Amino acid sequence: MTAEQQKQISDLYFEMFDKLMIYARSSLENDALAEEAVQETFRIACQHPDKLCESPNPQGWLVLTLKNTIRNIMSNRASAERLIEKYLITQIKEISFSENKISLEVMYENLAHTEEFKLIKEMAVDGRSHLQMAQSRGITVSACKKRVQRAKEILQKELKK
Amino acid sequence: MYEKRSQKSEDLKKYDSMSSEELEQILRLDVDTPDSAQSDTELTLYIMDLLADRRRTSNHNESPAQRAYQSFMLNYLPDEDDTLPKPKNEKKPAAHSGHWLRNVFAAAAVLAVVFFGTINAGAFRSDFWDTIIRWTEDTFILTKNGQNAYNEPSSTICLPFSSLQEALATNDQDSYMVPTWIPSGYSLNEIKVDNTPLQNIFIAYYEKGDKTFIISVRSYLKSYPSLIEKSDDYFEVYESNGIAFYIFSNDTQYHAAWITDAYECVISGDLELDEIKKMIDSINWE
Repeated sequence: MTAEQQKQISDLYFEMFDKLMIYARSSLENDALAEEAVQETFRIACQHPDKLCESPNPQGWLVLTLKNTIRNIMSNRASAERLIEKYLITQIKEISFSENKISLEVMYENLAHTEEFKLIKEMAVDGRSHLQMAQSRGITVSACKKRVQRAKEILQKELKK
Repeated sequence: MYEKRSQKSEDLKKYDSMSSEELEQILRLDVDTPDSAQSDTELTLYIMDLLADRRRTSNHNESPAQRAYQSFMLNYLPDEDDTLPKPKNEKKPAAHSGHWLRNVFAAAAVLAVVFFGTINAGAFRSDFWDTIIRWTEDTFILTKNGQNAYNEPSSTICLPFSSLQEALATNDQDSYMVPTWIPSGYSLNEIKVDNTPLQNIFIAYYEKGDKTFIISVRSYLKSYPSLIEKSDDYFEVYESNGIAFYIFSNDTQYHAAWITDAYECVISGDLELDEIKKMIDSINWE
């Protein structure tokens, strides 16, 4: 990035952050995820400063990039949730039915001790952002993303067994 | 090109009179609009600007952009060699201070238990996953002071209600499903309310010396699967008035959870098992 591009991106950050948060928050369930989407958008902007800075409508470029980022977040969470559901089904130990009322109790084997399960669950079920998960583990956001990807691959391998 | 509001066209003026929820719905729909379809960036930017102005007017707190910018440079900047100008009026990030609610939830690792709940109206959800009930720490932590690392609601407020029932009634919610008896010595500390287009959450905080517990009620307009965590120590399905209440322990604390057609309710904190059951039995269901 040139110094001029750095300044332009920085100015756009402060100009657009609140508005982009509003846009992201309209679709994502909490402020942490919305902020993650906005931060990812600016990360992409920093990776492609020419595209942003030479755009005739930099603000519109940011909105479109944010839209795609939101879709990716939602898609990743949905696929992780499906993975969790499939994994849980394979771990059922016992199901008991009560005669007089419609209720089911499902007991599972030890699940939460596995780091992979915890990681995917935090993302898919708890709605935590990568930053939150990274901070609780004392790792970087980038390392956390890699761990999430690895965790998905491990759970998928478990399912194939 | 993006137009400032001072140059707004007549077409865009009609959005000025829309409610914030309607405008947010338009933004939500824009995310779902396929790229090939016509997506009006100018309109999107106009609505974002409009909502931002409204929030600045109603909320005099400092924009989080300053803090977020520092976080961006620390956590997200892609290349270590790259940098952005330092923020103006750079401040040290606020220290993360704890909230007493954190003492209510133990941080111990737990076994996950997923189960189905009985719906008191007798309606049976035939879909397997529709009736899984899920709670995590996220569902209950709803403070607004930045201590919550999970779901931070956009509009949590604390109001001086004298009881949880009063808070529910004032917000046009039912109150038949909450306990009418509270263990001796506990007093109501505060009630936090969070209302969004999709759900309403009420949390009543009770204190007795250094002991605390909460009763939370969440109404939801669309159902979604839930997951409850528990430890290995205790789990019981306690029936009262024909309704199943799920009582379990998590480290040193007991929790009770139940659902109705439109509400999820939880008792959680420093309570004895018999106190929880007595609270459950005090629910009127009228």
